[in-house]
Amino acid sequence: MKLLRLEWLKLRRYRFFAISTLLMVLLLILLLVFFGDINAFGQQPAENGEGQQLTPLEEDFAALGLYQMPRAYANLAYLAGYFKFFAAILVILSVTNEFTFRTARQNIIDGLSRKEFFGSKLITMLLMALGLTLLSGIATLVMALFYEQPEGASYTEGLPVLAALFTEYLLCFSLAFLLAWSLKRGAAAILLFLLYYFILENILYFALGETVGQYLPMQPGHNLIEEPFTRLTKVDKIIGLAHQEGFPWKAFGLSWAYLAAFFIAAYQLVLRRDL
Amino acid sequence: MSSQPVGETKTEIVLNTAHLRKQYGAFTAVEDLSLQIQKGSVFGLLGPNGSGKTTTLGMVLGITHPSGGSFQWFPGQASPPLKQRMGALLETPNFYPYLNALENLRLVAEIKSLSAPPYQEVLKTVNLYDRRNSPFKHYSLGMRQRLAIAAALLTDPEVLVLDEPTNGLDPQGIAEVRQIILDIARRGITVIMASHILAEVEKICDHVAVLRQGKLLYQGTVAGMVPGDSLLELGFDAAQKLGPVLQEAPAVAEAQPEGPLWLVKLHPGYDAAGLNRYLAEKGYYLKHLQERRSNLEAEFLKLVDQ
Repeated sequence: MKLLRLEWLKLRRYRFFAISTLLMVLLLILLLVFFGDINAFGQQPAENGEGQQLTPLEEDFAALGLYQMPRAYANLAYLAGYFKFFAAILVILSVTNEFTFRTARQNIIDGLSRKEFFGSKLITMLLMALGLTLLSGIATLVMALFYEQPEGASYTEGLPVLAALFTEYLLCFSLAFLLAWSLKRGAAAILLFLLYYFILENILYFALGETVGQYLPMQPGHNLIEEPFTRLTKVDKIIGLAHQEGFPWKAFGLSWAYLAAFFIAAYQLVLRRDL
Repeated sequence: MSSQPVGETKTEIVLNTAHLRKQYGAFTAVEDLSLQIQKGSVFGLLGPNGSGKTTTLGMVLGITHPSGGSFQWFPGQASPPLKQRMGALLETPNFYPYLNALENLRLVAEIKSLSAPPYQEVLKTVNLYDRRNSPFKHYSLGMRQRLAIAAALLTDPEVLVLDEPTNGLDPQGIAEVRQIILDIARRGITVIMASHILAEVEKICDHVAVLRQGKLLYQGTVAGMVPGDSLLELGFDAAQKLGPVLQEAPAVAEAQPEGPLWLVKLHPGYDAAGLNRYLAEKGYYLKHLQERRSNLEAEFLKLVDQ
């Protein structure tokens, strides 16, 4: 509780952080609420290969079942997952600011143990992941109430996907977290984080091939929540795409192995290094 | 306050370091440093920039891991947690720039788990009460330094650790901060202060440790840094004629000309008045006679240049 209060005192008056967090929450809600109104097939009627006019499809995602249980949780969780980059930047800043302001050492001098200091940042990060996950879950529930549901649809059956979403956030944050503690500089950590996530790991993935590449640290994050659009638009049936059924245990396990390793590495760094 | 029996002269030790060492690769920042700091003293850690003062303070404050040796606060006492008995700042004052003085102090109090911290009192002590609601980023360096001292005083500490507390301040700021430190010391709080300014240590401290390139050169009282025997400056109209008389005078241990003056070192037990009388009896009337305290600056440089 003390650590939580400490973080609250530190962050609530930090305007950039506060505004960014609010903005993130707002954007997430807007995306989840209004994504259903987007036309799934674009405005132009599609043509097939032989020049035949296909039936103009002008259905929006809501009509296709975006908000229909039990898949609604998974559908919206996939969208909410994109906010991990936004949040990861805030996670980085909450750590690196302590080095920029040199308050990390002052906190320790004032009597916080290194363990407590690390713990306070870990809590911030966990709360961020938890908050976003809950927000996604609640938004799904609320939207589901607005739309007609299939008869007998279960509101709880789809819930486990939220555990996958939480894990997706944490995996992403754990890399950001480790980079923040190692580099101590906000800009450098953010840059390297984005560089690794979007470029370096992809290069590695193709260089190593899928068999080895799938074990790269951020890869399990891609397999936690299945992309919902092919199913919604029934494209999956057309191209014969197989779906993963059940909970993605392999990606889940791999994610936790990596994120635990990253957190332990960051913790060891805090314990051993001169501040 | 003290419940010790009268006549008890056992001095309490506040900080003990034994063979403390810090190595950065091939560079040794602090070497074999053994210090003893007594309760109630104002202890100066004196040395040029880069002599290991901040590294030493960083180690005893738990920021920097020592490469060797050990240190102990309040040895032999298993009482309240150390950080609640101590206020400290290292290098620059470090606070959250977007928080005001009061909010920053509240954070410190939260870290130290204080129940009813004397915010008003400490802010008044350092003359920041009127500016308590301005954000830290708008503070001048002097105000920042004073806020840091206020934060260090929140716990009503037994020890105050300061690192170059007047660095970068204007003369008025320097005077203010020094006065605050002296006031604090008068309350019986042990002060440990790093400084590269000899005059500052001379004005504020009673004990001193001199460091150079991480090595301890001297430890003891400030007065003890200066050799006990002082020099006399003698002026006489015909300076050359004074030489032979001085050689014969029983009080004189050593006499050297310096410009128009003679510098005289006396044997123990003799004083300036006695020498003056002796010379007058011989018919030599001095036009200048002054005691010259061996210059602390010179002694310091002598120590550091060895």
